[in-house]
Amino acid sequence: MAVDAAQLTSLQPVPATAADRRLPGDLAVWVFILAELLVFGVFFLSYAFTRAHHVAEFNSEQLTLNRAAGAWNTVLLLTASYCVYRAVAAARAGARSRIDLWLLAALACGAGFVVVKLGEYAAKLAAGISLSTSTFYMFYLSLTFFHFMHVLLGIVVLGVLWLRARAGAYGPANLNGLESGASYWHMVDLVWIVLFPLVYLLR
Amino acid sequence: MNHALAGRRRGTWTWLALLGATGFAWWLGGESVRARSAVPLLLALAVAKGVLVVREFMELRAAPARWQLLLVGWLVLVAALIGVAYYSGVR
Amino acid sequence: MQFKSQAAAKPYFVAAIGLFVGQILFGLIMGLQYVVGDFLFPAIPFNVARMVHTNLLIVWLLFGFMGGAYYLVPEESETELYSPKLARAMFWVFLVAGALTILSYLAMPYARLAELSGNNIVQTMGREFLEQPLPTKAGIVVVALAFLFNITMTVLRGRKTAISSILLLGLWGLAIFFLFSFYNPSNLVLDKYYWWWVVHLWVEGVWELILGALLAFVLIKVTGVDREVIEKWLYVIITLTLITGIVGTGHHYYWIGTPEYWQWWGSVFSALEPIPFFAMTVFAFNMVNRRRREHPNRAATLWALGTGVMSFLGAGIWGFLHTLAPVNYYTHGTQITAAHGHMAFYGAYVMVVLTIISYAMPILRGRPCNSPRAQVVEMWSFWLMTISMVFITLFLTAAGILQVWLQRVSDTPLPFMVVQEKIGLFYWMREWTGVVFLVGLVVYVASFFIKGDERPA
Repeated sequence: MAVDAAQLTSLQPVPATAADRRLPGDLAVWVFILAELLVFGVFFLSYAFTRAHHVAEFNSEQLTLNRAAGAWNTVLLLTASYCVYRAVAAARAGARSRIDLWLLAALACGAGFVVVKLGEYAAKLAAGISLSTSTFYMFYLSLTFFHFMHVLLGIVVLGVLWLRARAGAYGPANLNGLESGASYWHMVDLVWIVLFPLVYLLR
Repeated sequence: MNHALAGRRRGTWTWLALLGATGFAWWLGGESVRARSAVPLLLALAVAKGVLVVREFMELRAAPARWQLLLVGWLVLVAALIGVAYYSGVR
Repeated sequence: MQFKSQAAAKPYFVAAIGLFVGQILFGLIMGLQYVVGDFLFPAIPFNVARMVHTNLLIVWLLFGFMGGAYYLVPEESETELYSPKLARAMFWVFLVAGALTILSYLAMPYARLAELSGNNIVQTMGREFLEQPLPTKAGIVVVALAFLFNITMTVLRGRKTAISSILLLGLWGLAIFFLFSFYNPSNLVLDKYYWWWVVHLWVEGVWELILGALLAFVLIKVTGVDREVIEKWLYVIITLTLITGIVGTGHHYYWIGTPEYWQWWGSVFSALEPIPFFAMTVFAFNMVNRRRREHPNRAATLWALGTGVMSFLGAGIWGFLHTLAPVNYYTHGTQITAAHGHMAFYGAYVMVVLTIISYAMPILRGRPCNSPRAQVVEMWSFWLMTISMVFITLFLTAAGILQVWLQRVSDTPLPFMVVQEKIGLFYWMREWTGVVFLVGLVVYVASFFIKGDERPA
């Protein structure tokens, strides 16, 4: 890859020329990310425009959601993203021993998200709420569950990165895999940033 | 100060800003605030947070411009259409 | 031909084209039965003609896929086929089993065939596209396993490329999803699930992988564009296909007794199914525009471009037309579905098989390409078949819109048979266009027998 060493050891300062600009990670991952964003986008807009026809129902049922759990999950995902960012930075700086620590911290945050989310689902399940209860709950469960599956996949990806980092696979000259996985995780975060206000807060 | 340190600081500030925005959004979404007036603000906060993630964490500010445009464009478009949907639901 | 064992593909291609002719003849018979109900009755009733038409389609496409794989895999793996003998043997097993099945459809009532073939032991018959008697279904599994063994061993032994891996994934998926056809629960909703897990996951899932791999292979050959570029495109297309196609299965769950949320899941995901097909169109044209050589086989390039365009139109656009739940509420099971089915199968799968045949057959017959004269004739057949398929689709779409209107939307809905009378004109136009298609097919077959100077003029 045509990236000079100076650029690799620094933390990617904004490149002076267009030619220095490069996409972190593999192009294929980015196309995958775009496809995912498209699917989530269509889902979000389906929610928003369906709500316009059932405003009262959506508003009252939305108040039954656990907003604090949603906010804590936002904090956990953002923190996980920050840790992943630091892991990439550590790899770029050649600080191998810190890569897997940051990834482990990110994994812990991801696991925290899963625990909070499962608690939320358990409470709704105990209240007898299912996909067929109402249009709002159908959307709430579909959107959050579809996202939840992405978090699980993201955790698997981070797990693989962690194992490989422990084996010393990543460094300034070998970033492609780490950056690809990191980009995917940030996408999971990005989607939640829209999903949380949309489903939990906006009314 | 070398680039690596500057980059780490930048990342940390980004993270703190995101956490602050999340707390603010959570307060805005609470039952004490008149919900309708909070809609544009919450959407703007979501876009701002998204732009931070895209530019800083995803590091697209250092990537070819079209990638940043695509992702930020997605954010703005989705948020704007959500706004339209909410407005059309008010009537 | 780079490897001697690629010759194993030849009989598969010949059989595919032969069965294709049969399929079209039965299509014309049942097309006429739409308007002349007792045509050929009681010798060939409508339900039998329909079954033969669709089953022949599936069988000849499978012959085409297998032939394509036998041609492609040795060249991609840079090694001889693991066992050319096994390939030859399986050809005859498959051909004889296929022919016997079709003949038995024609020779006796379907219920009698079910009784004779052991359907009371394991009930698998009677479902659209999966009408085959038990021994045939078992035969398909045996042939598929032997074929997959042969192909997989070849790939394992040689060079591993993205194209051969994706082809292999598609072919294994094809075989595995076929296993759902052996289970036929008496609960009608469950039965529909298992049925769609074969039919949908075939044509909107793993077959698209096969399509992508075959198209990518031919494009590498005729354009000379770097393998890396083509493989990247292929990965993208495959990913999009799998995301949209698998959850998109939900667009078959709308009105069969499943929970309502499927209307959302099905609509959202299947609405995105045109995207991979669009990517395929852009892919084909992009690669041909960036070509680094002028391949003398112009006909193969034309088929490859045609696949890109027609699969997007037929599978992408015509599929999207009726995939959203609120639209499908009115259109399901009408001639709109038939219109989509015709153009999608032709545009995606028929055309990709004809693409690989067009590219490989001259080489299998010992020349880089056919003579310019033969190619001109082949291109004529391309346009005849493709344009008549466009018109068949348009006429069926018109018939479908009228049908939806008169039978379902109208304030005073008319009964099914009354509506069928009223849209008879479109069925006649479809039938005559079908005759043009047959002429195109005859021209296509004729192009194989045209000699002439092989060097391009």
